[in-house]
Amino acid sequence: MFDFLSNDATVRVIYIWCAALCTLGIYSILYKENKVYRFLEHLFLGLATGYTISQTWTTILKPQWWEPMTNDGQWWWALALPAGLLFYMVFFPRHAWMSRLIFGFFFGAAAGRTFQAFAATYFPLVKSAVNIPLMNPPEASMPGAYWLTGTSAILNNLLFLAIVISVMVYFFFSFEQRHPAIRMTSRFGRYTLMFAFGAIFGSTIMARMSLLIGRMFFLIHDWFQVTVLGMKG
Amino acid sequence: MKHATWPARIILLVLSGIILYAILSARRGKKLYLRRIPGLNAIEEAVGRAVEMGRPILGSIGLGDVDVITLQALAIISSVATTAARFAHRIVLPLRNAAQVPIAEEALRAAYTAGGRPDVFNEQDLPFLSGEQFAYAAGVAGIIQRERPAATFLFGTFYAEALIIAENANQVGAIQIAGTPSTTQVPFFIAACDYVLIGDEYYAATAYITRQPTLLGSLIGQDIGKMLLLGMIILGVVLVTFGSPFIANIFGDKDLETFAAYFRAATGGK
Amino acid sequence: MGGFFVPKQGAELWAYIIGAFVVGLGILYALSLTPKSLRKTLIAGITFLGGLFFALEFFWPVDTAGPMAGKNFLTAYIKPVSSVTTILGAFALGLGLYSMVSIHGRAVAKRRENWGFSAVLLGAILAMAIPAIWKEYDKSPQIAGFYRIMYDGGFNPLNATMFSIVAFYIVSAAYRAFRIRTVEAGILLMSAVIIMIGQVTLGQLLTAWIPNENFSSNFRVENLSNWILTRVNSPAQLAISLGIGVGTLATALRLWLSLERGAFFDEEL
Repeated sequence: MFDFLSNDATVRVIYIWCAALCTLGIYSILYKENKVYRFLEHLFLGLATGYTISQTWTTILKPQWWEPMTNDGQWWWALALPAGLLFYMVFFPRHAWMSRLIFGFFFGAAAGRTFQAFAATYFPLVKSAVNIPLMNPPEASMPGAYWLTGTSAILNNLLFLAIVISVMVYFFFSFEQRHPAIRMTSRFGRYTLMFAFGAIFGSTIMARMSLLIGRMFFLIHDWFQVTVLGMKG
Repeated sequence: MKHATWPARIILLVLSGIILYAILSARRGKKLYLRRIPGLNAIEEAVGRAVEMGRPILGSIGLGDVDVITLQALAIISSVATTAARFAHRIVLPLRNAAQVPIAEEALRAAYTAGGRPDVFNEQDLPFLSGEQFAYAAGVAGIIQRERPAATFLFGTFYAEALIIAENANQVGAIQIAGTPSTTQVPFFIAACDYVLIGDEYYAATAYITRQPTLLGSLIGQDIGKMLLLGMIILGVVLVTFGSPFIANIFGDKDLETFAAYFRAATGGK
Repeated sequence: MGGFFVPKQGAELWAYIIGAFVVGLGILYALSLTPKSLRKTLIAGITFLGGLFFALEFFWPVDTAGPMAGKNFLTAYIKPVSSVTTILGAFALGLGLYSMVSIHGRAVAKRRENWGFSAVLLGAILAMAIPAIWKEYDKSPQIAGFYRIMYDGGFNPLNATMFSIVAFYIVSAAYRAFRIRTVEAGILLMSAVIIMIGQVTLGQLLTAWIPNENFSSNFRVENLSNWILTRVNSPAQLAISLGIGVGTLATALRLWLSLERGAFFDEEL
């Protein structure tokens, strides 16, 4: 009865039709929420949860816990199960506090990792921030440099420093920014932030449009032309 | 940097010491000032609007795991919940990570109890949706369209789904307050939301809302830490200008052999 | 006999596994007897120990030469401890599943309004999870074909479509945000437009007539766009990042040392 599932061509036609209907149905929310979108939303949530369950077993529990315990004889992994059961103590009001033991472990582990994460992430940033000489910049002696290169490099470096200072001043909370110099610096910082956020906005739009183009290509080429009309791919 | 260099040990211990000292000072009763953060002043207004319109409040603590950012988001939403509890008002908080479910349930239950209305808390208002990014977004979009919240609070780690959630909330006319350390999503929140907490304001939020001495002290400590880093950057630029990469070497990822080596640029193994 | 903490085999292995599980349950029972006055201390202790391992592994000096170069005595345990946290985190999936199944299961059982959608959700969980796990053990083409329909016909296109829908929302968000009402909105708009124009060939054609050398090259839109990204955006992002970093460090310290405050942390146990 299910032999058609072993035929690649049949399976391909089925999943392309399903994919096309899913795509069009999701886009219907752009008009307004409707039963088709609601059906696909619940379908998506179910499929995603099923996928998460399978991934949790096949990529985490099976290779890292079950197989070392049962195949490689590492019996001590059995202790992980009672530890994992601590999560489920929330269902017992008298023992609900015990779930905080394992959550505390996770909070502590996350916190303990922060030191290494801080050094790995922010130290290189500070290092790059200080490598901006305000005199005799290296750009002035690079191939292709002309008479203004040195001056423009210095001005760029000054601007870099000014922006770092002004944005950091903007984010000071513990004193009133009443002095005109501090207020101006803070306002310059805010305007610079808007410039930066506009840049991020502009650079992201193209990437998002390319995703839309991808879906449109699927609908027009893979589904309509190849599958519906039977044109060659 | 996988392991600390000596400068990293000193800098991190100094920063930690400053923060802890500030916390302890605040707990001893030291008076502390906190400048205005507009987005946070709007929380009561947003909750009040939801109560008047009789529509629920929607919250999201983002896509992070059980980490520092998500816990901070949950702390902010809990503060909102305490305010909402005073008016016996619902908060719907769809969740993305399974481990967040009991933490969020306990946090909101405690918040509603602190607000005097533990009976209003309903576990079904904290549904686990999915661990997948866009399945979560689809679920939240659907909830927003059906529940039609009057106010949304979006705090935590967000990625591309931020705009899906925020724009759907705009379609139903919700007032929106958002905050995320994910700087790539801040521009979209600025475009879609009424109030946005940018960068460090995110971490100032709980201190601002609760005025708890520990949190205020921590914020003061953070400010001093940032001043220290800023001072080091300025000093570093001045030193590099005069040919000494001292600060750059301190923030490098390797220990140098002698203290004097930190003042010199690395030149072909010398 | 061999050592205690060595791999076992056969019936002896299962005896040790069951024994370890029972011992684990015994530890849970002993923990449940903790008096109320000691509970917060116990939680604070475990929180501290959880963080101490990673903090110590980072701060402890490493060997500079020999087989342990670049490592200290704790480095070898990073992978197993990280494995433990990953595995324990995986066990938490049941919490989310319980939440989902109880909400939608009750809706189906009590035939609440729109219970059909809840039934779809529950059915989809099984339709995806079962073949996805089954195909690991049974390589039959029917299972693979069914999984392909679920994945390539359902999960994948739904995911990709939701991602692509952001493009529509970007346009609507930009339309609303860029009705210039403030100086800040104007700056955001100007910056975004320059970046967008600088990234597309059509936009670059606008200033293609300007020589791409010396001072005049600064006025070509792609160079202007690049300048904004590297000279304005970069330092601003750096400054924001440093603030966030210090904020994360402070929050982490409060969590690690159990100094955090809030309804969740102040609750009586």
